[in-house]
Amino acid sequence: MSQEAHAGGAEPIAVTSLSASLGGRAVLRGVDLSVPAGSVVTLLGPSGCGKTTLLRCVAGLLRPDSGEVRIGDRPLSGPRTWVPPERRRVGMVFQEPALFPHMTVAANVGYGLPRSARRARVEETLRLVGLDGFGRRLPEQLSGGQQQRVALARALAPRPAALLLDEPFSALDAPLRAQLRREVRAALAHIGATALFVTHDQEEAFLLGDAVAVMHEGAIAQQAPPAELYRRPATGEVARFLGDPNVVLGIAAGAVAETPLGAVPLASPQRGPVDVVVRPEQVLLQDGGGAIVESVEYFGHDCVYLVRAWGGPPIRARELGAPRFSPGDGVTLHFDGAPTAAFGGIPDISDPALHPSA
Amino acid sequence: MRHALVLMVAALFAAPFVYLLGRNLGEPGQFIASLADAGLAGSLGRTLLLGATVAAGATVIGTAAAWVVARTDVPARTALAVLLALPLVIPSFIGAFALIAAFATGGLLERLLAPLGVGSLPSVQGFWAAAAVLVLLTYPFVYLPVAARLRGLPADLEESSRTLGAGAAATFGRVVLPQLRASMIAGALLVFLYTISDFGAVQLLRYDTMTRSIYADRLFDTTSSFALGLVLATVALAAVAVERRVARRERRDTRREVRPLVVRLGRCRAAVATATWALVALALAAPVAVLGWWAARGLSEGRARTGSAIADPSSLAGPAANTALVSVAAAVVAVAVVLPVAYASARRRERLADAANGVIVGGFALPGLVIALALVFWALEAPGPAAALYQTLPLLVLAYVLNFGALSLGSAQVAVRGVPGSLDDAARTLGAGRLRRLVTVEAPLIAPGVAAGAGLVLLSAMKELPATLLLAPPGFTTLATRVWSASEDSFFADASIAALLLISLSAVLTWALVIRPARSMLGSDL
Repeated sequence: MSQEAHAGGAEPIAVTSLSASLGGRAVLRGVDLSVPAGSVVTLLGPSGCGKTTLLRCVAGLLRPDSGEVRIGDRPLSGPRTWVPPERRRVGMVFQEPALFPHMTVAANVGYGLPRSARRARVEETLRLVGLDGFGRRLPEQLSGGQQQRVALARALAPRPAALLLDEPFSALDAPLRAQLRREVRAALAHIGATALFVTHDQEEAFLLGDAVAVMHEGAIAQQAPPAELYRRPATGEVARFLGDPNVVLGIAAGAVAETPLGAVPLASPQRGPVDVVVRPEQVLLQDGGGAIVESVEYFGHDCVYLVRAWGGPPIRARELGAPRFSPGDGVTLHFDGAPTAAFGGIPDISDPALHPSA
Repeated sequence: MRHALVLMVAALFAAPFVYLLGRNLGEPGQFIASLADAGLAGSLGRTLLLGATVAAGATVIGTAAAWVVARTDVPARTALAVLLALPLVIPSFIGAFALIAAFATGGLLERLLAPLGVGSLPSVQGFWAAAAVLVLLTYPFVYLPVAARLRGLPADLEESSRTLGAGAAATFGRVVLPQLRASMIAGALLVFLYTISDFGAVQLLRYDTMTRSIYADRLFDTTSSFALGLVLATVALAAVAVERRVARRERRDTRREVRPLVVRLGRCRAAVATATWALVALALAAPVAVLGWWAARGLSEGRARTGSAIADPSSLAGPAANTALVSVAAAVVAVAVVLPVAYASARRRERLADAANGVIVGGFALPGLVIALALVFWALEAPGPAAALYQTLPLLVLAYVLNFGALSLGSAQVAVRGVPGSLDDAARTLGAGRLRRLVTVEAPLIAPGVAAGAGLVLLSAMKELPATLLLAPPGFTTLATRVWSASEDSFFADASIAALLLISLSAVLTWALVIRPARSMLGSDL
């Protein structure tokens, strides 16, 4: 083990067809996920979708029902393989810091290191997380943010093949969370770690992840770089989960769908009735018209209108700057933006000549 | 393997009750005849009457004391908070003995009242004497949980009630009291259990409850003794079952920083303070003063009587050493026996472990006298090597373990639960194997809690009387049996000296194990 621990170096994580259950309830249903060596993948999903279960399966803290987990070229969990967590060479950071309360910071960070290498590596790792000089303190003498930094240092110290983080900032308040996010991103980039980062916070997922894997009901709905994910969500669930969009009914005819907002260009041509994803910033308001502004939420650098346009749920429209309209004003809604996603239609693979509106 | 261990522990703790059941049902005719005997109905009635009276009295006094300490601006609140808990350190037989000694001919009260022209005092005994002593000794069982609950009750509940137009009294009745009800009932049931199990006070004050009959009948009317034992055990188990249910129902408000709400007493402040200090004086200062007075008198008379503690200090050192020996042995064995169950129930939440947990708590419910009765007759009549246990120390230690194991189980469970599973997970992902995790993470973290549990067993074993009387080997005297024999023989000075020694030891342990840990509950300023 000590030989391996010295080896260090980031390795890719590969999860294939992983299924797992908790207390007889199926939580993971055939998860496929890969984290390339040296990159950060954030695992995003609502609470209860199985994110933490997946992470625990990768760590070896939970035994899956079927499927495989590999790190580098080592099979860790499979039909005939089971490597216990203590021999997986993964580092894990938990929601709460989970520091050993009876050990000093240095002893915590050195816990996973062979005795001979301890002192130097502990100092080095504490410096990495900005806590040099804190080695002799006890966890209870540290603030919440400092404790979580120690937890990160403790996980990084043995140079794990892969780092697993389970909503490590969820217990911290917003400004501290933002600061730690930046620090962790810098630290992970600096050492080139392979990391799988679980979060339910879209902002955090987009900021930290080279790629984001969106999890829905025990499976990965889509894994893609943040911008790609936002622009081209693969399923309705992914689209709904990201960016709090309007979903409006439309009739697709190839690359365009006719909606109450007018013609909306589609990212993927299709036909028939569709749910069109329209983000609030893609809705443009013009003075005068049959749609009524219901309420205005002013956030300072932007504002959001809730507009009752027809029978359906109100449409959310976001504009930069101070509000131009007041509740009760009549407006007209227009779509203004790049081609967007739509779901539910029949895929249209025919030639452009077949849809005249294109 | 793990299951077998838990099962064995459970069987051990169930043994006394099962033996009692077997003894009685083995001869159903005699059992039924004993039940039909008018003597049983009478002593059962007296037991329940005393239990209910003491529980009611202790609940009223304990709740009032808790409210005064937790919610008012009574002077010296901090000192009162601690002093009000201290009667816990006085065993019932010492409390009863102090009452008798106070009223005795040539005693403290006689001297104090003589100038007022009061002649000889009536000797105190019977129902009201027993009830008074027991109420004064047991009200802390209500006071401690109710005070803790009051401290944990956020002030904004009461403040909302006041802003909604309810007065102070209405607020107490409609908002505070319902929140306290579970703590009060649970405390009252513990007092009830303590009272019906009590032997020392009722024996000294001559009130014929079941324990007294069992003790008297055990030699010449064994059948009746066993029948009474089974009935008493059943009542006790029922009381604990209800207590568990009530305690579980209580919802805890987990908010940590609770702003204390202080009710200004105004003109009543002096009266409330006087009443509270009077309680401390009666329950704590008076017994200690009486014992101290007799002890001082004994010391000044010196070597008047051969064999007394004054003439021969070693007659006290021996029992003290014996008390230490058996209590420490009981504490160590109890921890060793219950630790596997604590792990299985707190960590793995196994159904079997929960059942074992229930059986061990049942052992705590059984009166020590009943456990001792079962063990004595089992050893007397057991075939082969078990018979050799009769009148040996291991059997006495076993009785303590069966009776008080639940105390160490509770602490051990809290300790095991207090170690979050994520610590073990973290250690695993850092490459630590099972042994290393146990030695470096688990053991250091649970050690203090387990030690505290052992201390509670130690404390209880030290003060235990009836099982010690029945099971101690001939000639093996503990501090408790020394106090007992001296008080039965009316050697007041000797009994007082031994009693003061026992109370002091028990006070130190109670302070360290019960009161200090509860300080945060009683008030951060303690």
